[in-house]
Amino acid sequence: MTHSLRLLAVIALALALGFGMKPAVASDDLVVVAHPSVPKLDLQTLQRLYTGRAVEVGGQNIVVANAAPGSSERQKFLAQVLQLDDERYRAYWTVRRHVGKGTPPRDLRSPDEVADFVRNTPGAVAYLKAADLRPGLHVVARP
Amino acid sequence: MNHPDTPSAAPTMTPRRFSRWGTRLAAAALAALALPAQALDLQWSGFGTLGYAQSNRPYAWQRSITDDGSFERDTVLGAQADLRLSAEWSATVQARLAHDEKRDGVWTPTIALAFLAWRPHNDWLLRAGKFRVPLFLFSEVQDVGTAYDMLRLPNDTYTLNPTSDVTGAYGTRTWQFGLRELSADFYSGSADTRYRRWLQDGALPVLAPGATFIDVRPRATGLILTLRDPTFTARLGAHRVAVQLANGRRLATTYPRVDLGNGLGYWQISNDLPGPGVTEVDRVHNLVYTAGVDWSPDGRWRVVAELARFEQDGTDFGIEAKSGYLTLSRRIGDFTPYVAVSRVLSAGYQREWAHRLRSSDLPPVIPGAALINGLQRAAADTLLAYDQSSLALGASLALAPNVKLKAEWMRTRIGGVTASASLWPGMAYPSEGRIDVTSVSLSFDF
Repeated sequence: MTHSLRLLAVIALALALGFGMKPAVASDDLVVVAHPSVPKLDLQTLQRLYTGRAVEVGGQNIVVANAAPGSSERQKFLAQVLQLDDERYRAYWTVRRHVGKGTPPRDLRSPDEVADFVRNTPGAVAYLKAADLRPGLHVVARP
Repeated sequence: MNHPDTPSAAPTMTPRRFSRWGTRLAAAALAALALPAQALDLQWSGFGTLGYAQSNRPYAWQRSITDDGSFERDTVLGAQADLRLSAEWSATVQARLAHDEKRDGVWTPTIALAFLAWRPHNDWLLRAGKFRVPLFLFSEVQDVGTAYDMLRLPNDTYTLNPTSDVTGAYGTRTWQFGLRELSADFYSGSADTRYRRWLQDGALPVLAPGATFIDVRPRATGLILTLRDPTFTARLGAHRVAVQLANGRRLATTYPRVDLGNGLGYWQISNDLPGPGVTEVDRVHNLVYTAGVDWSPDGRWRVVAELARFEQDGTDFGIEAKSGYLTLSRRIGDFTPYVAVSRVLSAGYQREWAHRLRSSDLPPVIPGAALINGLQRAAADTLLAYDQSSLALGASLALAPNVKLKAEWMRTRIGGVTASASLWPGMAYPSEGRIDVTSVSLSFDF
């Protein structure tokens, strides 16, 4: 009996380590984090917020931020959430800014800046790699 | 001489209720300004285009393009400040430096945008101040060359609206349907605009040849519906414009014929000339209808098409015309070649007026014949009558995400009339002719 349990444990470990079982969160997956005032966000709401078509959710004014231009987080987020590359996203905001319909989200350059931003700014929304997630940060979406 | 004061319509607005809205907005803005300093967020941006264009004709085309080449047509430099006052309030100011619209040969800084915006929630945006009306798909960003791949927005269509910068109130209501968005933009306002007309020969000693400028006060109200999804934008617009002269003088509705016998006669283009008298009104009106589509099914191929219809009410001499263009482009990496065709055709009666005034030819035996003939040709020069079509082949190259190098060759075939040519004295009128324009530009934004 003990032998059987050990065998099952070995099989389970082997599967988890590389025989097809995918960890729940990969280290380069993105997580969307926010100020505690922000409720959970779905994909469509994220799309609207990051294109300036929505500025509040459930009565809470939202301030979104992007990762730095050229960063892998930014490229992945724009592709996954908006189906855009950075060039087209930038072009979108160039038009929107100069027709007077808002300014593009600010850029944050490090996980520390993201953490400070969402902890200290009511309505703040940003994203980072799951591997960079800090304890206590409020996760509102996993795109 | 008061006839050529026949300005076209240019969208603008100033509703009677604006003062009430303005008071509310101003009060709320003052409240917003009372916020702590850390709530303010100022962002700067800028844009510019260095553009060179050269034609194969000695006369000036589109005001400044000649066979000597010119930087004046497309070169522009702009800077914009966006100040976030609070979560709901913001202010925007945009300044631009370009060839002066009100004087030839002068570069002047102007304020293109200056408005206060209030966005109480996702679906509403209200603005008060000076803004740019989205008469056509690219009207609002026409100075930002990186916002489109065409070297120059199709002149045959965009030239019909001499100004879209108005001061007044502007509202946008948006409805979201999944990834689709329907928005209704409505505005009302006024503008201080100066229209340029070119008198080829003038009518000495009364009128000198060359550029002459007419100050007008258009007031416009409009509604624009726009449907957007990730690959498609469609827009319908309707605008009503009232135009009057800034100096208070009146506008001619038509010119009566003065018959001198033996088949001779002239058109009384001014009450200073003998005749039964020119009927005049304080203001004239335009109705402008637009429809546009911008479709990019796969992010590479892109089709842009727009149609515009200008209707003139109250005078024979404003703008009554149909225009449209179609552009097909394909993005190949950083390279986007395109082909564009465009057409503008004034109403038959306006083209006929241009023809009959230009062909007036009283014999010298008639006293004052030279002056009368000159005045009538000058009157023809001031008409905004068009019959022309263009073909453009061009490409843009994205040197960086915020830098575009563009080149274009355009051929325009002129029919019976055009208001795009500034002819030197003695030049033959370019009817049934053609003109080629080659252009290069470098656009950037930051």
